[in-house]
Amino acid sequence: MSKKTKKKASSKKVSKKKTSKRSSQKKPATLFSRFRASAGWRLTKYVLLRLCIVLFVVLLGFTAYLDITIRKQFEGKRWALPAHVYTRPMELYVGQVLDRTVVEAELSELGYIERENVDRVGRYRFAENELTIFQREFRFWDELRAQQLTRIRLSGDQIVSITSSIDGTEPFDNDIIRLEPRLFGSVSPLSHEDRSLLKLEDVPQVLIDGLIANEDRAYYSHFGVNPLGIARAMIRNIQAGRLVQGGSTLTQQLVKNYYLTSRQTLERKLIEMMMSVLLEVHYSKDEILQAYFNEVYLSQAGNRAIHGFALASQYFYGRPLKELDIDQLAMLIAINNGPSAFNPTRNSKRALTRRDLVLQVMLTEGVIDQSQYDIAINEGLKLSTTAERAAPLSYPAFMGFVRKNLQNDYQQDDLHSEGLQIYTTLNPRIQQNLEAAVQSEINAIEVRKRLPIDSLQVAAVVIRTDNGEVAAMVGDRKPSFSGYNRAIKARRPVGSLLKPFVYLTALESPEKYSLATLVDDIEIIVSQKGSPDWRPKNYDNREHGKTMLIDALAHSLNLSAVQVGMELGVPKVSDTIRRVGYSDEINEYPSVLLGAVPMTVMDVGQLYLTLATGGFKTPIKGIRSVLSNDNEPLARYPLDIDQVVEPEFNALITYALQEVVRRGTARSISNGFRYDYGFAGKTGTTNDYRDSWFAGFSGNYLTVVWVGRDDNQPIGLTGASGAAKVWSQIMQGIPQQRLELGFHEDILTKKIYYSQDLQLQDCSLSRQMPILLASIPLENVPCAERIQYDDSQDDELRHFEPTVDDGQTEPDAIEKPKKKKSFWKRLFG
Amino acid sequence: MRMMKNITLVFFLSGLLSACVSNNQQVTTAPEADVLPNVQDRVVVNGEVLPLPEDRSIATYTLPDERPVSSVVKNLTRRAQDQTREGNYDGAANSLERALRIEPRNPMLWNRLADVRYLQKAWRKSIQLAAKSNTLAANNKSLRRENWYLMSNAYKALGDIESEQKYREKLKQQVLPPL
Repeated sequence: MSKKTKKKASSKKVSKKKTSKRSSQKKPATLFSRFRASAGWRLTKYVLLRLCIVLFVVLLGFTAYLDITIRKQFEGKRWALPAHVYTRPMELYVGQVLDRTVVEAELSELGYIERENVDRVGRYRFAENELTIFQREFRFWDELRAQQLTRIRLSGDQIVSITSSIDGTEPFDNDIIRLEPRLFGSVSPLSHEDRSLLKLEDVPQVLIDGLIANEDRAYYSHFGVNPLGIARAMIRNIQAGRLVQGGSTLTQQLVKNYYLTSRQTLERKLIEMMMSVLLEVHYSKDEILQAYFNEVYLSQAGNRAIHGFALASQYFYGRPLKELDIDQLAMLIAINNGPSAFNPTRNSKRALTRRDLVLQVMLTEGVIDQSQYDIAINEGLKLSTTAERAAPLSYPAFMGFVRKNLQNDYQQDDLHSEGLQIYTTLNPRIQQNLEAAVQSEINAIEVRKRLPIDSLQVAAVVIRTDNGEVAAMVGDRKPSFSGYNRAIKARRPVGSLLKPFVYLTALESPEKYSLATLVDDIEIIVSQKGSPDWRPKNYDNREHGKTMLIDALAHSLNLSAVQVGMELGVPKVSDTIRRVGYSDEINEYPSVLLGAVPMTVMDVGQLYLTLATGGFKTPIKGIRSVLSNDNEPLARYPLDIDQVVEPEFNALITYALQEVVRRGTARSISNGFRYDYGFAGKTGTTNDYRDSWFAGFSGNYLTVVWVGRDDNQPIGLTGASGAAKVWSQIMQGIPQQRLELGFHEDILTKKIYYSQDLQLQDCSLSRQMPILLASIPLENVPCAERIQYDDSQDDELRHFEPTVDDGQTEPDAIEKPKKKKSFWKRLFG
Repeated sequence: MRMMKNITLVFFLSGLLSACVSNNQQVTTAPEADVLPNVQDRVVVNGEVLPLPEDRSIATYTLPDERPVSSVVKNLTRRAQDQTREGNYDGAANSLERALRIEPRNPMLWNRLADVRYLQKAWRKSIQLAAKSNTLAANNKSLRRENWYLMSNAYKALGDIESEQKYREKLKQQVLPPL
């Protein structure tokens, strides 16, 4: 900073000398002394001195300002650590049936490499009866797991023993081990930057030495700027006639990185230099180097800027920096030299050439020896598949869900800057399967039904029924799109999906209703104040007369649902829906009975989850726990259940939902499965075939699917022909467990007799049905009055699912959008 | 320890006596086979008649103790016990939840989790978890008694005398049935 003042001082000296020389030659003493004595000179001196002081002060101030700025940048108010988000850890335990493909997919996604020799961290081998993994160290939310060599012995498909050994010591028995969860996202600030904190001791020495050798050989000896280096570079540039070498030190590069623009004006360059010197004054060489490794911009992945070598290592190679080979480290140095010019995913040839140059320098400077060089120089790119796809596996729909959950508990600022570690419930194997199933099935449906390509949209969620954890989610038919997240944002009317809750309300009065109770599937006119009368219809415009409750639900008859619902009262039914887990407002109109409540797939999932757990409302969750950047547990999301439906009633309604799949509107889904898992589910179709819904569960997973159009135009699909097909495809890829209704001492399996039809009232048919003790007296209905449900008119392809219709339009013609009817009018018909 | 012994004794005795109890209230495993041959209940898919899936809707639940308890679950439960003894309740809950991810239908695990919450004085949570254990406990009367016992105490702590009495009544009734 004193350069300028020095300059001024020296020039002044020069000028002084000149004047004295001149005056000594011409008129010696007189003029000079006269000038010196004159007021003009005194004034000039006065002004010049003041000017100098002012300039000095200004410079000092400016320097102080730069000092504060650079320290602020360095110390990290701006260098914020985004929150890091992890998948669930895969657990392997004794007695488990191991699916080799699934485990290998997980290991490979985690960056483990299959090698004959498992002698380094990050390697595994799958032999005939043994799986050996050299596991990385990992901080789980409840423990720090040391690096360990784990051997998993198999007998056929089953794991029979697991032993681990740390640091080559005596192996110990481990009945359950966890693969580490994968970091799949970060909640980053608006600038979309991402970092992963790296300590200098975690950086491989080869990389440090290689970087210094290639970029700034005199790093440890200069004071922030290297004037010799600048001079050398200038000479080389002049010789070559263009810019071939930069004279920037690593410190200067670090400073440059703190500015988003890379305008290299002289002014900027000078400021950079000053800041670099200041930085070196305050911080040690190691601290600056550490910041460098964490800070430098290395690549762009979509809308994420990748800063720092740790993240670049993950991005390009899918592995931590410590595990990279020499040629890969050299490649990172090459990328650092020119992130766009030498990006291996875009210019592989140029990148390789540059890498080889880096290796050469490393050899000449003694960073690596000849043998290492020979191996490295012959290696190819070896990029990870993530990099090859140039899009990190990010699961935007699930991330949106996680972000939403976090916003309830954490400030936006904390999420962006505190380096929180978030352990989620996402299962990447199920997610992968879900994405594939959705994409293939939506395309297939469009082709099969001759719908315009790319017209359909979809939302789906897969939830574990034992604890409400979200295993997978998609919010768009292209799952990697991070646009509108339909899974949590698209609220659409649910149609018949609310009927089970109408009948559940009924069943909760067992002295009046049982599954075998005959309900009236006959016309009903609902008068409402201030609105025209509502005349709901069945899909086939028929009345089915006296129908058993279970059949009315299984075949999704509208009239009986409205009949029963109106008898119970809409407020009572709405209360059931709220009790079972709907937390938003319900406009208690009769149309609620036929699903005029807009919901997302998550909302529907919450309702059906209560049924799937045996009547226990279980909050759906995406996060298991949160740790601070210092590994302090901040929050746990424990299992929290609330019994809202008596187990007996729950068992009855679940049995009825199984009937939907056995004999009812969803019977086509059983085709895709080899075994009978006892699936329970419900189809849903809304007016004019605008929305296609299916919600169904087994003993361990609940999946909800919605298919429709964003512009809300009719799609001509029922719940069965649209969403259920997608559902079936999804569930086929997930290991299912049979749905068990459990034991209830008050439920009997009763034989109900009924007749074939009205003419032949011979009570020749019978079926088993669960009936509550309290309902036994109800079933003394002459079997002659019970008629078998006539499904001969069911059209599997189209009319599997009834809709609300005013009877004026042909059931199998898609209503052309005339003018937009109001929401309520549409449901009223 | 004493409670464990008592419970085992009760269970053993009730196991013996259950053999004597006539079974007219029990549910059947398989549907009775006397439907007429030309029954119309069937699934037709693509013109092909498929047999109905076995109607095992209300199956009797095998006694939980008949199912082999995996060593993993045993160890996690033991770990939870150790953690409870140390006063690390959240850790114990975590271990039990981990075990539940492996065996979600194991009523003993739900009961243990209810115990942990009880020790944490989270009365409502412990009641719900005990209720869940009961829905899975089938014929395991001793486990159900344990759950009812816990629930009645928790209700008492909440000041809900009515519910407390309800569960105490259940405990009284469930004493050994007459031969």
